[in-house]
Amino acid sequence: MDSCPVRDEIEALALDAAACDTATREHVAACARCAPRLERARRDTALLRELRAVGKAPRDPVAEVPSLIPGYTLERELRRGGQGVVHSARQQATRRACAVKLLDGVRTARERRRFEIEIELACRLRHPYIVSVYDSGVAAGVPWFAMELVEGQSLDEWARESGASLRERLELFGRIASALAYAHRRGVIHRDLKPANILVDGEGKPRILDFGTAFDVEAQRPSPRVTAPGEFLGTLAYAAPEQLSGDGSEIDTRTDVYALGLVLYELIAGRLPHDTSGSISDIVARVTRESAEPPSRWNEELDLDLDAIALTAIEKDPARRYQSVQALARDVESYLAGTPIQARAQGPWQRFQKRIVRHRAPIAVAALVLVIGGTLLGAWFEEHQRAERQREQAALVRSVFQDILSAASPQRMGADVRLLEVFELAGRSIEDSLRDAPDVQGAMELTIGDTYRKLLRSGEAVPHLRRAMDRFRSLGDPHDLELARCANLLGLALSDLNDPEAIPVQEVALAIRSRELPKDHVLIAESRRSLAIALLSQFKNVDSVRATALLELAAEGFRAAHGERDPDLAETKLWQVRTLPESESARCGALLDEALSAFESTSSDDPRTIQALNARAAWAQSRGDFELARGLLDRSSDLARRLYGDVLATDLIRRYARLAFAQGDASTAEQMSRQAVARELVRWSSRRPEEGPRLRALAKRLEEPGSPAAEPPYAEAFAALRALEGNGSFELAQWMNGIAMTLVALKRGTAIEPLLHEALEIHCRAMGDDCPVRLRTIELLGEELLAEGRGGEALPHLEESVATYERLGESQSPEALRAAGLLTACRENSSDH
Amino acid sequence: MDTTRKTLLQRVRDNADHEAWEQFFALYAPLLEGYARVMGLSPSDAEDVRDECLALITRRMPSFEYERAKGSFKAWLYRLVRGKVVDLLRRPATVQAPTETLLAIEDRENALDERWEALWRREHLRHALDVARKSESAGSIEVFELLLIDDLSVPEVCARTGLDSRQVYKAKARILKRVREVLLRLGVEA
Repeated sequence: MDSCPVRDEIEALALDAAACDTATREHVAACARCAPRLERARRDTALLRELRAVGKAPRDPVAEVPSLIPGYTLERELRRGGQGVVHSARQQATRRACAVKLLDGVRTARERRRFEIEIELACRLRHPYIVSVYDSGVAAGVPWFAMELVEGQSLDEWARESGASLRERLELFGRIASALAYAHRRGVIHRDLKPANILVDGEGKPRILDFGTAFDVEAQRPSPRVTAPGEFLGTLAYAAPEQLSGDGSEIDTRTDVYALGLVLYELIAGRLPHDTSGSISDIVARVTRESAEPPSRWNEELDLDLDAIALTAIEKDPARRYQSVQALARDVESYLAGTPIQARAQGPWQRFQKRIVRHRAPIAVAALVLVIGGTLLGAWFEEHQRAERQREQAALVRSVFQDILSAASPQRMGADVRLLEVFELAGRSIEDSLRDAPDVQGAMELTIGDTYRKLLRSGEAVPHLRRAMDRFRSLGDPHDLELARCANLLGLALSDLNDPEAIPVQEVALAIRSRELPKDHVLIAESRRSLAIALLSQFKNVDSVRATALLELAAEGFRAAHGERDPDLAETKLWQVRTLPESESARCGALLDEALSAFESTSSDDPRTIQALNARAAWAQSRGDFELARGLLDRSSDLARRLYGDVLATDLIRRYARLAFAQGDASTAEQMSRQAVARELVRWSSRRPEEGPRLRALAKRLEEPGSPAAEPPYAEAFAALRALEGNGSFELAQWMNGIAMTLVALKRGTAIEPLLHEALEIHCRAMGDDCPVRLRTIELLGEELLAEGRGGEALPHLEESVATYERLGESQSPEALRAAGLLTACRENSSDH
Repeated sequence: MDTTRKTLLQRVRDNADHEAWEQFFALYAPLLEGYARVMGLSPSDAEDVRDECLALITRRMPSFEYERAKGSFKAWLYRLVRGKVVDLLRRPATVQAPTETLLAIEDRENALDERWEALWRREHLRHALDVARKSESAGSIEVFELLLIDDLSVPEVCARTGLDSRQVYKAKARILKRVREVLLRLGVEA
């Protein structure tokens, strides 16, 4: 062919490579003019095709439902999931109502392949409790299949709304299990079993749906081409540990046993065993590592057998689960029939044989704390930030708090949520959602830490405040004052814990504030007082000279800023009292009176009033004014109860016990002490559920000794408290001393010797050898040994005590003289023998 | 300045270029909403995602460094919309969001997913088609619609309109050329 073909022919070739005769095709391929013409025409045709598809596609990509699936009329949308959309439909020929599932929208080749496998597998299964497939096909490129239409609820809705009894729930579960067992026998593993994939019809019959992620055991499909290595299919909350951590090769029928176990758990407990909030990595960590709580923890109706069945089904190690769905179903049947089950109570839930009652603050309280915190923070930002960032940050804070609160809703975490749990959640949420806003993160950590400290939980406050400091430090200069505020709070929390690190932290705060603020600023006074508190809270090497000077300056600062009735000045006075020697008792009394009246003149309840009342009571007690002391303690305990509930009760009982002892009523003092120790044990039992029963039993034995002759188990109780506190605090040792004193007075020596040895050890570690309280303990021990006629053993203790007083240059003090007297008595006693 | 030589992304750096912003919204609003829908959000949630993204974009575009970030507007927009979709999917109310979706978007490598690529192309084509439809003559458009929407062949169009095939080819070529121009300026291959 010599002449070039006309345009029609080129266009025809672009549409169909086989168009035209051979000669024309050969010419076009060879001709320098025609080949580019064809190429252009081909590109035009391709673009036109693409534009045609775009022009016809509806704007909403998921609305691309083929309007007509041959033979069916589509009606409303029923469900939408990752693997397609389900419409109710009617088969035109039979007028039969059915459901049509189709793979809508923009889909990848892998998704299409998976959908085809679902159709194939679903067609293979015929079971009354598995949804049956009628028909399938491809319409306008969209694969679809028609199946039985189940009028009913999803299993989770049914469980919530049907009001079914435990027996009815278990019977329904048995039917679901039988259907799954059938699928397994036909070589199909479901892999995405969850309540949303199980429908319950009006007659209470279940139907399992959605084999969209199913796995064909025999054909080993989906092949790697369909499921990429490590790709996880299914819903996270219902995934088995091996689905979350493995490469997919470990998935077998036991994976479905796990999911079925979760379905059982949720049916009987009303919730999942793990918290499924937070980031994906959090959930994965929990599901793969944390052991599950027994379902009876959430539903009192359940017993140990059901706990054992559910927990065996959801064992993390597939080898320890029921090895088949039938085995699980059989145990549920045996349970219903009242015959023995195969699962054995094992692992962690044995320790839960006695129901644990945890002290829970209702969600409302937690919510309130956080809302207040959030509002304050919002306000803080409005105040501190430049205008442009202001609204953005305030909104960020609000949304994080909202997230925390919605994640902590009762539906998600059980009927009531412990304050602590909400806070833990808050901590995580801050890490997650505010990674890019360290200033907001710092402010929120600071609020949480401050709230913990205000709730008298300084130990928990410290890590939050440390993180807040890190954030502000990383932000540099403009945030120095925030950094100082943070350091101040961290230092106070550390002081509460008698931690020496409080001192350098407060020094940082004071240095920053002195540098950044005018010298009479009230925050400088605050930092001076805080540094003094840090100094006075130490066990060893208390620099009371420096503390005294700082408190003096702080008091002047507060007075100049807010006058004589300033509560901050009042608090400063309470600390000044601590620095005064006994000889200045009158000045102590005056300062305490001033402080107390300042607190009382403020309109609201200042928590520091409790401190003032207690200090004033102790002073009155030391002056022999027992009635006044009792009256002040009564007021203190009223206020403490109003502000903190039971949190301070132990401390107050101890104060009453000391008062009784000072009045000479050792017997009442001893009784109260026992009550206080018992309370403390019970308080710990709610924080350590795994030790709860032991601690509560111990508390009971303390309060009601078995026989009148039996001594209460003091030593055991203190050993337990010491272990719980992580090796015992100074306060604990003081407490032991107090009890030892009452017991010496009551001549009930046998109980106290181990107690004193314990106290001695704690003192040595906390405060070194020269601590006066330790010397007092040594004397008590010597006195006790002496009284028992064991002067030989008492001798070294008393000698050490006397030698220490001499070394400290205090050999003429009343305490030293008393110790020397005891030593003499002891020497006489041992020479008698 | 000659607006036709500037890309849409360059033009919207000027807040006062209303026409550019209009085009920008017409193009990206359906894209953002569509992606949210494809990822399994309800129509109202998808609208929320779209609006939040657009609000942010209008604040950021005037300072968007297009030259330096050439070609990465697509990735930037993807990260933005993906983040908003994840936020919504993570809400407790939608706790049973398909894990596959969640994991796909948590992918550390930030690889654009296939759906985004497909939607991106589709919405850009749609936009180019709309622009071409508005800028060409009514006659050309009529021919083109017959070819495009009614799926007619060239002889059929000739029969229907009374034009000869040369005129039909010419109308088709003009529209396609215009479409290609628009796509070129949006950085989309055609």
